[in-house]
Amino acid sequence: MKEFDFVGKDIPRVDAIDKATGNAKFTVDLSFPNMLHAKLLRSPLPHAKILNIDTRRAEKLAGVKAVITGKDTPYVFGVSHFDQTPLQTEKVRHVGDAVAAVAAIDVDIAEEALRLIRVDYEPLPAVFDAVEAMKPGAPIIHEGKERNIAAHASYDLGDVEEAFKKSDHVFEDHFETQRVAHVCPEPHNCIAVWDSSGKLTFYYCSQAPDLTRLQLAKAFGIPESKVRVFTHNVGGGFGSRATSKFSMDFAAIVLAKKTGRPVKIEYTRDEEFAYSTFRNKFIMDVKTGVTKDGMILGRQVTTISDTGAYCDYGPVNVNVGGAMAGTLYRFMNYKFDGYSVYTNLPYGGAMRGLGNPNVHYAMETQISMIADRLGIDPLDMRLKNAVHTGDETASGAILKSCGLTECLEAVAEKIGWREKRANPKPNRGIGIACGVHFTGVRLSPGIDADFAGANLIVNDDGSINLATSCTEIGSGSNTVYAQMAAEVLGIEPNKINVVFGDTENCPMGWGSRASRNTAVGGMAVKLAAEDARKQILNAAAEKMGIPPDNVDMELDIKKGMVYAKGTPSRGMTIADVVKFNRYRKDGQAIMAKAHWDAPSELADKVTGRGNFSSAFSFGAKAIEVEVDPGTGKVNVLKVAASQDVGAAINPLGINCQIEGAVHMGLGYALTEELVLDQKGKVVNDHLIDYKILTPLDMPPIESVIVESNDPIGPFGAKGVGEMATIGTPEAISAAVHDAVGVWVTDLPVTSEKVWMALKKKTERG
Amino acid sequence: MKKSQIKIKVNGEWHELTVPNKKTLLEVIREDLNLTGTKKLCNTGECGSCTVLMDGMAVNSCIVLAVDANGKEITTIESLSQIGKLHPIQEEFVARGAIQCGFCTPGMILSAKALLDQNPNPTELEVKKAISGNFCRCTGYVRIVNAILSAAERLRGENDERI
Amino acid sequence: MENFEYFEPKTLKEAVHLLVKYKQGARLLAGGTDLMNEMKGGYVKPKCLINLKKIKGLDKISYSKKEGLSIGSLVTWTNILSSKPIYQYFPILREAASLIGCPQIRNVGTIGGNICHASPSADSAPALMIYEAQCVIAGPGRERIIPIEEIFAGVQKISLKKGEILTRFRLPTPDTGSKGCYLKFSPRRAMDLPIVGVAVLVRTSDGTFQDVKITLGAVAPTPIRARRAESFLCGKPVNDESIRKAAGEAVMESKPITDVRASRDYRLGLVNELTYRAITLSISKNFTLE
Repeated sequence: MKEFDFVGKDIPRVDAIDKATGNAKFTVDLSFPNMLHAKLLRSPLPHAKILNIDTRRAEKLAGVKAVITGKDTPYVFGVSHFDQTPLQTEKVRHVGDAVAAVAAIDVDIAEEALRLIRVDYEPLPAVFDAVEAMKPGAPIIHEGKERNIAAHASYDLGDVEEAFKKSDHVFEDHFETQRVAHVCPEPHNCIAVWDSSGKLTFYYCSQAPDLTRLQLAKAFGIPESKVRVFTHNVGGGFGSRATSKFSMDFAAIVLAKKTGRPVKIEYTRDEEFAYSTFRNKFIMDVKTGVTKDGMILGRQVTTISDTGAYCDYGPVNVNVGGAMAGTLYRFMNYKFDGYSVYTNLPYGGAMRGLGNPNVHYAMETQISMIADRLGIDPLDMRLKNAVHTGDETASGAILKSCGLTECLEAVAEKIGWREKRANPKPNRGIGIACGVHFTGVRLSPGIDADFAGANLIVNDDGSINLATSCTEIGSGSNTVYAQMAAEVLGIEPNKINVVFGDTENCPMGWGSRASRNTAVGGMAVKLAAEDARKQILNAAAEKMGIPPDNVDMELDIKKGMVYAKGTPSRGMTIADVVKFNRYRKDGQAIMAKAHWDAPSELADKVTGRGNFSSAFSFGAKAIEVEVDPGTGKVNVLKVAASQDVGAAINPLGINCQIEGAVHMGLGYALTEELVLDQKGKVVNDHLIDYKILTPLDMPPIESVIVESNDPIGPFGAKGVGEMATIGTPEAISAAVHDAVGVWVTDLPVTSEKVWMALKKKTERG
Repeated sequence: MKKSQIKIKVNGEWHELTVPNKKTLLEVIREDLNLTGTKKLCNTGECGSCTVLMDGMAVNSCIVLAVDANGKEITTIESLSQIGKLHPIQEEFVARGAIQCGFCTPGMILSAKALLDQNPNPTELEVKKAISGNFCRCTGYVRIVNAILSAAERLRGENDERI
Repeated sequence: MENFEYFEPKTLKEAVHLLVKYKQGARLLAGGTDLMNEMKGGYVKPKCLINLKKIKGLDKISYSKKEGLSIGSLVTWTNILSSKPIYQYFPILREAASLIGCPQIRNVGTIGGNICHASPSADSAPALMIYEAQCVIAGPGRERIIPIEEIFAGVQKISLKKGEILTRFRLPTPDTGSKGCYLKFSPRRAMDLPIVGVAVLVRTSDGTFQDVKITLGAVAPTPIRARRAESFLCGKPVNDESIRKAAGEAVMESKPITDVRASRDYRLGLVNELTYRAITLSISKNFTLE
């Protein structure tokens, strides 16, 4: 990237001071006069008919202002499949399925009221395993869904059978990935407030306030203009707040309407673990045909995903996993079948990367296995098959920029790949993996749009109010927007006030999901800034007597000053330009707007093929471990992580994202798993037993930014946040094998699993 | 009697309150005193987001009863900065990328303060141990540790460089 | 959490009186790190809470070579970590304390509270048992003293009678030449209870084991002494074979369960490995606990 004043610089986050002082407000910090607190009554059974609900005793409790059940919430919602209602009337489908809600003057009274609600259930047989749920005779969870298959995604590209025939070897391997929780620091919470005109203001920790608004308006059957969604700072999203899709949301809204008072619902941490969705459990079979020197000729992937009692993002996760499995390497023969299967378990949803990290784990671990079986260096095998700029992949993705090779080489260098392979040490091993993710996405079937908006106002003092459709969920998007706008407008980033989260005062867009903030949201910002710049220059030209056709030639802006290029001392401040333009007859404000729809396409309905994103980010991880064979403990010595971000708008911010993603990836790889018992209840719904790595567990991380200069993205940028999550678990599995000769192919790679594998290996002799 | 009268000094100011015995220090801080900088994440003393200093010691305020804090001096995040001037620990957190979503930040900063008040020259390991009870989902802790070490240098007067 | 009456007795006598008065409805509040979560989860619903922290003397540490160490039941882990006599004479206890929770927990959590919570995995228990700690108990009757093993009555159960309060621990000074350590195996390096915890204190002379103590945590309903392993190893030559066999004996004495943290088989494997390592580490020439 060329040298800029602000883009490409390590500028501290624009919101960091507020967060460091405790001034930054999150939705959970908000309180309103006359506010009530609500709690949900949840089913203790995994699958049961509701025979009767008696709320009379609860209603009579002093301090209780309203009690609602399913008859008060006849709304249907979902993501791709509309299979949910907020409070169940006919039956419950998982432990924790909501059946009633209470609003009271405080949380304690609401909880006491829940205990007074009597629900008569008739237990039904339940099923807790996706494979079992697909068998004949399994209990049917949703009427009409044969074999409990909620959705089936398929890709059939090229001729996989022919490819296998031509292959020197065809390898089939089985992989499983576990349920992991987002563990967003701010618990799910919302406040619903109705005003006397019948308008709803919904305060919610949303990643996508406009989507929330659309979904609520649709579900309630009211005009969108009657719904305002207001998001403050968001304490972590990671995909769990991409839409408004919880019983909690609807319950708060209905209770607020019924009582005429603001109603707040806040999840407890155990509710947050079990009922805010989590990464689906995937079972995957990967069949890959290769030549004897490691060229991939074809691949077939079958995935069974446990979507839980409701779909939520489940089918989308499978679809995405399927699409991305046909995007990473150069082979063109690819078949995918992915099933989202209902079970009587709390349901999963979108989590950082959707189904992509799951499927990458399977694919990339298998590449390492195949390399090992063929006696080929796993790095060389990947380099041999790597996609390049200009490629069109099996999935139909057109790679306008691709830094995959550079990413692989960068991590190999950082970890000392060649040297360590040549000089192995006992119980030490290295593993490598790479991956691809999209930057914004058109998900098929779906709406043929992937857009963001930006509105920009230049104030009298030369500062900017910049309203964006994207939400700051901690990934640093507000800072990146300030940098981009500052660069275009020639002013300091600290003169730009970025506003987000209010659907009434911000432009519309799909919010902060699918790694679209920098590239899609950023492009809208850049376009709006360019429009504003043009207006400033034209107005300055008018004031300075420069002909309109010569504006670009003769004028420039730097440090808030519009100046003539030939005579830099001759100029005027932006503030003066704005005031000149506004305070005169027929004056104008300097305001700009932009709506950017990322150039991508919906996939073909039959083949599933399409260029579903405007840009693809690539990355690689190389990890060194030392395994303690006596205990199976995997000690991670070093992680090298590289990412092709197109262009690094804020390198500090990118490195921060990579480090955070490595932490999440290591948890996914080694210690994190949501465990359910034989009755379908989450067992480790607390931080002591849901093991997120502590500072003492973190290895040194070296991150490398690769810039492939995407032709579409603003300043050449692409997405960051989700790609960074990919690669860690697969590199760990490979490193463990390199260290002690055992493959653990179901996550997490716990010390117990390694120990068991070593024990079996010893017993086999 | 299930209520008690307590006197606690919060950020230098004495407060007299009548609280239900079961009310936690965190609830008093957030609800009675409207200081929402201290966060509730797990409410079971397992995450450190509710960390405050009690008589100079880092504690999880969600598992301290308000009655048990009677007579004690409490420091919350709000007291660290003055208008227009941040504490060096806050400055380093801001400058070094140690803040992402910001929810863990107040608790993290106070744990850092507790450490540096006792040990002005900690090693990297000592810093990690000091924040080992402060959970962060966004950063991977790398920049947080760096920020605390930098703040320690500044507080020792070894490095006046502002980033 | 349900509300309760709250008392801050100034003397032990007052506290005992309240305990007797409120019977099953009373709970003692020390640091509260376990109790608060039990109350929040609704597992415990006391009618009254008796805060012991205003009673003088319960948070003191004192040491003399003759009397050994006295640790008040309300001594916090942070205070244990900064105690010179513990550092010098009872390093295994210090080691265990350093591995508990995190600073926020160590600042308020107490040694008495930890023992009386009686988790089979408590880090403090193997360390106190290895030093043959005695529990000093006050109550309505006379003060009584019991070995620490006798305070554990089962998973989260203690053997204190109605109205009794654990006031302090007494640890005799270990024999000169004794060396030992505490090995804790957990998935993470902070915030975790051990999957298996092993403490060892051994003394060797002329190439044989003279005195051997081995305690195991998280492998039975209560922390246990591996007495068979101890008596096997005592008198045996100091070599790898004896230590391996002793570790095998310790495995035979363990009765771990399978739970969300680990399987029974894995725990047994860890007992074997950690016992072997703990003994080997303790006898190695230059080994000292920091």
